[in-house]
Amino acid sequence: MKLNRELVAFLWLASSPSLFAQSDGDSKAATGGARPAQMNPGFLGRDVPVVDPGSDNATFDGKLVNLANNRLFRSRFEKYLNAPAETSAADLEYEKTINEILSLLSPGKVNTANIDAAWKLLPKASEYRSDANLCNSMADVVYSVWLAKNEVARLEMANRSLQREKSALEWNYRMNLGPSAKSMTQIGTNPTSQSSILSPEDEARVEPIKEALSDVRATMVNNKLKKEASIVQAKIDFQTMIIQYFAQRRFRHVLIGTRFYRALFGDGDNRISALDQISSELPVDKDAGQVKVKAKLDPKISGKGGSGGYVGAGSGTGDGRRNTGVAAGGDTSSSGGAFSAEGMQLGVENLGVESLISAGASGLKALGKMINSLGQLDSLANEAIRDVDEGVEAYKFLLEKNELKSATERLFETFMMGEYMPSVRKLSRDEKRRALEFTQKTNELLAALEVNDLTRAEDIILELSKGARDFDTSKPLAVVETAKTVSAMHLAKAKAAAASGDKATLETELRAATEIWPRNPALAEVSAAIFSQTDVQQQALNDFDRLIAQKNYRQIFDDKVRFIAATAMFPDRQEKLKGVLDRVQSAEASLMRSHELAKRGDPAGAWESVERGFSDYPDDPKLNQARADYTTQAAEFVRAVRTAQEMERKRQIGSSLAWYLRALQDYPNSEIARDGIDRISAELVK
Amino acid sequence: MSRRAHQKTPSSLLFGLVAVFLVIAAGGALFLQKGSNPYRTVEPLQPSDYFENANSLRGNVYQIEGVILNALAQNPEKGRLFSISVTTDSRKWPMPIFIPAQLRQINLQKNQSYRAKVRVNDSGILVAEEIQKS
Amino acid sequence: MLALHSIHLEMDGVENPLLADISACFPARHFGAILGPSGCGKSTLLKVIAGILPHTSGSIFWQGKNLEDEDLPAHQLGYVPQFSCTHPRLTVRENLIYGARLRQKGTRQQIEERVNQVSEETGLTDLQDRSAGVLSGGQLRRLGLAMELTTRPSLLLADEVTSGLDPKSEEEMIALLASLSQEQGRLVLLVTHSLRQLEVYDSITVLTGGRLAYSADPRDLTEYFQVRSPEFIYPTLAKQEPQEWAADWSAVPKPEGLTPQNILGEIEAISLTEDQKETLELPSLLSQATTWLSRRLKIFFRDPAQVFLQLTLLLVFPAVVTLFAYRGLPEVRNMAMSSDTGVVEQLRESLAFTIQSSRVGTLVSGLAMFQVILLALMGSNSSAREVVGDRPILEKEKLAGLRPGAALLGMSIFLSFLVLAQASWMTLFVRAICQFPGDVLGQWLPFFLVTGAVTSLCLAISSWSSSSEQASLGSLYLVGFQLPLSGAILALPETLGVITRPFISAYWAWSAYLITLRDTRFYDLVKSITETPLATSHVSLWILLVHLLLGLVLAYFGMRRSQWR
Repeated sequence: MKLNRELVAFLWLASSPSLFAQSDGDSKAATGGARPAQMNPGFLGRDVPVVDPGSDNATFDGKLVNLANNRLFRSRFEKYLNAPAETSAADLEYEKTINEILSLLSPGKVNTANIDAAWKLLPKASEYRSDANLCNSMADVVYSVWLAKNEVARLEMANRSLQREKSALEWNYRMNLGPSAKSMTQIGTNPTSQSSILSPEDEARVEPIKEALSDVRATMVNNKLKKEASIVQAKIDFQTMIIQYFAQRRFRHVLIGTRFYRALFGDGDNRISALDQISSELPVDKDAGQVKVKAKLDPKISGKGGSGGYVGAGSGTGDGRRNTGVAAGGDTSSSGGAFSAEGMQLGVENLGVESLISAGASGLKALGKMINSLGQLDSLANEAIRDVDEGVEAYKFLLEKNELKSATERLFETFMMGEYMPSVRKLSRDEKRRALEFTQKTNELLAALEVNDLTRAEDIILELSKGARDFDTSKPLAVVETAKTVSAMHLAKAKAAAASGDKATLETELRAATEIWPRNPALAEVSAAIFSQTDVQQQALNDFDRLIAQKNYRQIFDDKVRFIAATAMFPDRQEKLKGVLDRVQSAEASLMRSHELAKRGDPAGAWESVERGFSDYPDDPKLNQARADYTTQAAEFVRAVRTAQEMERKRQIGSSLAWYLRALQDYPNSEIARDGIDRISAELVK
Repeated sequence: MSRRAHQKTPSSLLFGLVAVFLVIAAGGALFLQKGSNPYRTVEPLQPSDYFENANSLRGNVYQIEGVILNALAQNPEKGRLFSISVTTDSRKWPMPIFIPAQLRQINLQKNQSYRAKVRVNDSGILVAEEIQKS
Repeated sequence: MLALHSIHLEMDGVENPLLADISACFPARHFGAILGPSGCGKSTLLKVIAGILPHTSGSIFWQGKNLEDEDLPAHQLGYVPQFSCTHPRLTVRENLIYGARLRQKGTRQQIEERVNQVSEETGLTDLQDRSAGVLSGGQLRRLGLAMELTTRPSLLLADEVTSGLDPKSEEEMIALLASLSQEQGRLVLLVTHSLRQLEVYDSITVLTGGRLAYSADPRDLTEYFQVRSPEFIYPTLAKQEPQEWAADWSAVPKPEGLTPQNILGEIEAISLTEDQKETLELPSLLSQATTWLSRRLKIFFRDPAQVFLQLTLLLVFPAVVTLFAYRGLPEVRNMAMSSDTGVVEQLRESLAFTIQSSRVGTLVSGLAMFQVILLALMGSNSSAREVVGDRPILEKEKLAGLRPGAALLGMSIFLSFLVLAQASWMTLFVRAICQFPGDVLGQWLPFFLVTGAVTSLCLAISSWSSSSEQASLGSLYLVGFQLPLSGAILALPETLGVITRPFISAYWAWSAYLITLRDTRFYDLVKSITETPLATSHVSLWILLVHLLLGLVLAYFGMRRSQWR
């Protein structure tokens, strides 16, 4: 059943429009986040689809499956499980109609009347909701075949008359030719191709005939072609429809279709040779067209790449990325990406043939590799129906055994395949209830895992184990535990990072912890702590910005511990803070030095020290004060220096030099004076 | 009393003589002193004026006398720049003085006392035109 | 004829007049004696007559001329003081020769002739080559007398020349004087308190308490005084107050002084005077000066102690100076001139320079000043006693016609030899040993002038001093104050310095000396250690010259002043 399974998977995925909404095949989508794809196959085994939190993939049966699709699928499965059995009168009527159609078209009974009768029943079947209008489509297609056939007959008739005309023309031609020419011609040969030398009067005579002949011939050919074309077209249309039905898992419709086909084209030619032809002829551009499609269908597709095999509609041909995951017999070596389709806008049920055809070109191509003949389709459909029935039985059996997990799985598989099959549809609610519960639970579990609500997941796991005998809790529990531990670890690291002000690490760790276990209760308190810290931090940052704007650097300096902590994660602010601290530090150093000097009874030196610091930080009030004090104490010296500087500014360098000398005399240690003297002296002797 | 043996010199004459001698001495000294200062006709520079605004003194010629303090800079082609301490009113004024290259033979040492005739140049620096040890 | 009219002499601080109303008359060719007890004014009267002491009132007439109006020429007056005014180191002849040369113009031959004459007259011919210092009292008196006689004075005054002589000598002296009075109409007046041989005299004048008690013939003496013999006169004098004796005498009618003898004598004297007027002239200033100089030189070289002293000082003092720098002057390290050197470095260098300055600068300045002071000492030593030591001779000679200026000139020249030697040797020796840089002449001149100035100033002190001790003291003070007031060691406050420095020769010499070092680093060092301003050479030398001249001028006036002991 391997092939089948793959096929089913393929079919299921192929039936989703999201498939055809191709992603750009970014392989990263497959893994993303915290849990690498490789981990998944081993952990939970194949029992429960494991959700990869970073991507929308799940492993199903050991293979990655796009979860978005699975989500849809899940909800549909759940919906199905919730739905009552379709045992209403309408349903039964519908059943009856379908069965009748099938019997009308059964191999021994095919005749024109039956075909007609069957055809008349089609619209009736379409009245029932569960038919999803498929029978109507089929009726249309059959009608078009008939039309085509009519045309064909007509064309046949036309061609026969044309043939007659052609013969007459040929006779005329021969008649009109000279005696020599007649002998050279042969009946049936194309006059135009003759390479006889005709006399000009012959030429003139036969010219119109020649013309008429070629016209007739052309028309005949055309008609023939038309005939063929219309027939081919009709075939193609019909084949396509059947394939579509198959893809949609409407196996009974497939049977109906194949029987109609045989009835209509009873030439035994049920080879779907035209598949390739179709796909190549179809207006699909490998890249552009698909992209276009994608763009149209799913503007929000995020492509996530990944490695790992996945089964399914290998449609992910993005730019240059190979995507060969199509049912390649378990080929898991694809490097293509899966895709998530968010924002799907098309319902599965309402896909038109055209859109399907245009969108599903490569799908068809892939399908073409597997299926070669209608007969194959037929048997596959029959097999599918049978499998479905068996599946349902198996489900019921497992259910009695309380092997809920296996039962549900089996039902799931069966549902995947035979959603539209009566046996599946006829399952009663009661019978489905337990599967439903299990499914719901597993869905919940998956949901919990999806949001990494490990606590809840844990609870669900325990519940599941209670309900299902064959549910192995150890592995999922282990995973949950590990996740919890890892989360706690990250949290601890985050806490440490927060304390030390390592913004980067804090962020990373927090994110990791959150991603692994968003509902971690510890997270709240850490966050609270961090947030409160952040609040404090934010406050500090606000203060910092305000003080910077006010140029109140000393305040910043006094409060520097707070600000250092606060600006730890903001490199630009940190730079500013550093700058401020440096400046105030140097101003402070100047001030201290000046006090030292003043204590030693050297007010001039003190003043100089302050003056140097002043240039670094002119707004500091303390420096200003000190400067004022020392200016008074070392008044002569300061006056000398100031005068010297002013003179220098005014370019009265003679006076300036003299005042610098004076300043040096007042205070021999003065660097300002010394520098001034050196500067001006050098200038003077240049 | 005009006897030869006991001619007395009146003290007034003596004092007068001493006074005359003093006058002669002082006069001579002054006269000679003037000769010792070759720049005596040149106006002495007032350091306070110079410090107040050297630019207003540009182009003028003065005499200064002071003690050499330090050598500030030198350029073999242009000359040497020294600082000189001029004392007036018991205050010491350090001033820059430029010894141009043509006076390069004068060996100036720290704490030597020199007398110079200087001109205030455009930059306000005192440029020595003549200089001698005092 | 000598006529005294009411000679009155009072002195400040003395209650009784020294001489009161002395009126007497002495004709020419007369040998009169002036007697009286001690302190009666005999010598005083003689000095008044000689003109040495000025009388307060009264007048003296000689040969009809009031001596106040026109003093008698030096050669007409011979005054023999009690104590000899001869130089002990000169021989009798030399004394006479020099004396004669000082008093009268004449060729060498003439002088010598005269000297021989006088020697004969006074009986000194045998003693001519004997040093005056070894003569006996009587011989000395005769020498003194002989010195006066060289000019043939018309008026010979002898003050107690017989005192202290033995009776024989006394007799000889009196006989000599008597014979002299017979010569050329000479009036000889002898002050004595000896009452022997009174009959030799032509007249006796008795004084008591400054008053005239008797002035007449000696034969009438005892009668007047109512005594048996002259020895009793003095006690008799004591019985009455001097005023009473004076009153008694004035009551006595005096005979006419004019006798034929007197008149003849007068005519003789007058004619002699006229002759002498034509023939006897004072030597020129220069001549006197040279006489004095040669005399001084002779005396100097006759005094080994002096020579030795001078030589010692000349040699030792410079040597002492060189002791302080016999290895020459140390080299001077310059200070860095960059203003970049740190304060500590600058201070250290400044300190080193200061130490160096204080060492070397003090050395140089000290050496300069030391030389100056030593030269001043030498100068003062030379001249301190120059005048005062010879003052009696000087006064005597002045009385005899010596011009003070000549004496000064002679002294100055003599001293200048010393000054020259001292200054030159000091300059050169110290310079050679200590390797002093600087101009030689520039250094020699101030030394020469300072030595000269101090010498002349001490000469002035000497000339104004009344005793050797006084002169020495004065000179000592002069030299002693040179150093502290010069400002070389310690700077005076400027205001004080400005006042005192012009009078301190040492300062100028020191300053002038140091100025010669101006182009050396020593000058800078000295300048750095001393606050005293240094004067230029010209000024210094000028001032020193002024000092020197001032000293000479003061010395002149000092010597002109009469200062009889």
